[in-house]
Amino acid sequence: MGQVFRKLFDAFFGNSEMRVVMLGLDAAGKTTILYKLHIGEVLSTVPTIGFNVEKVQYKNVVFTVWDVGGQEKLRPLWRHYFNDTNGLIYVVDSLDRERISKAKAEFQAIINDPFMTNCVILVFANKQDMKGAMTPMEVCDGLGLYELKNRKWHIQGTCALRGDGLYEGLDWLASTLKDMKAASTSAF
Amino acid sequence: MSETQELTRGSVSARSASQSVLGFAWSLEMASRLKEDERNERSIRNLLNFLRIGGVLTATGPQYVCTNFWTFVCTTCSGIHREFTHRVKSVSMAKFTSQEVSALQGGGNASAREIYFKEWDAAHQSLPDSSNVERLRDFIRLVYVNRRYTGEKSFDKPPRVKLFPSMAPLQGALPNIYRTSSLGTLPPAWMPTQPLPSNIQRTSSLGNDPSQASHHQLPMSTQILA
Repeated sequence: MGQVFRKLFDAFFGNSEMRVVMLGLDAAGKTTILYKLHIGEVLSTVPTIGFNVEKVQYKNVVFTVWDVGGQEKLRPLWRHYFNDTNGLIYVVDSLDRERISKAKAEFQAIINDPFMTNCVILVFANKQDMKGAMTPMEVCDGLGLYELKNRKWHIQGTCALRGDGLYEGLDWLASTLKDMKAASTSAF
Repeated sequence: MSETQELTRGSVSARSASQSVLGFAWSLEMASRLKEDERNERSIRNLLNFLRIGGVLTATGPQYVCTNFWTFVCTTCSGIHREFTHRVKSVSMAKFTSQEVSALQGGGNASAREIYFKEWDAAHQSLPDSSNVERLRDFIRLVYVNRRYTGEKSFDKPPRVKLFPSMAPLQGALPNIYRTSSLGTLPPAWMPTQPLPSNIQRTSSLGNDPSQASHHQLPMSTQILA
């Protein structure tokens, strides 16, 4: 009896889980974002070789965030993190106009992967505090987000150092995830 | 009738031939690109090894290149350079273009030092070591962001003696590949205390004081990392 109640309680108020993979070109700010979310501090990071993974709890959702290194030779490994992933956080260095087309190519390759066709897409246009940074709209254009069809996506301007925009992004992820779960349960 | 058949067959075989030629050209292009990637990586590793043989770097030393200044930097410094929006590339995890390789051969830590450490007084100023991230960050900001020692701006301090006089005789003693690179002009304090392969050995006799070298070894190795 108690267990049944517990299960019901969890279903309404309990934590749901979401597996998220965070990708983007090197020096976009992925690791800084991960640790800003996880411990609320800006760590001094070094280029990631391999990956970092942390659990981030926010509003009854436990996000398991995989932060994978973004340098050229690590990018072919990204696809190994795609399986069973609910969401993609794609981080863009808004200051790096030179490589936005490279960022677009990698982004399109990720979202067109068969394992990623159902995942929701959150784009962080990072480093908004810097002078001369591309606006989220420009990043949106640069990645070709407008051309996406039948995908749930959201772009958020962020500053990982101050933490601006990060939780707004997670808010969107959490609510979108809940909507999708509700839709899938009502379908049964 | 037979003529047209003949014709079509001819055109088909021509097409397949052109396709195979195209495919061959494509695979050739891919192969050459792969080769170029390999070659570039090898040149960069050669540059790195050269620094390492020179006793300037430890085995766990620089694995990154800062493309703003064309220097080899250690892992800690690569992180700090990124904080200043400088671009860093890992020697093993990034791909380098031929232009980048030649820029690195023409640049390197020694020539960066000539620019950014022009007014650096090694006798009175100490270099941070990689264990102290805060000091290292201040140091990199001072040297590369504020360009404090480039000698461009006049500060209240009196002008200093030029730190690293070029060592022209050294260049001839170096392997051919490095002759054009500024790495050939290593200052005396950099000279190794450990035995060298025979082709570089001769250079260690060029006015090198071993005691001075060992004295400077540690801070200098940090300097090059920075």
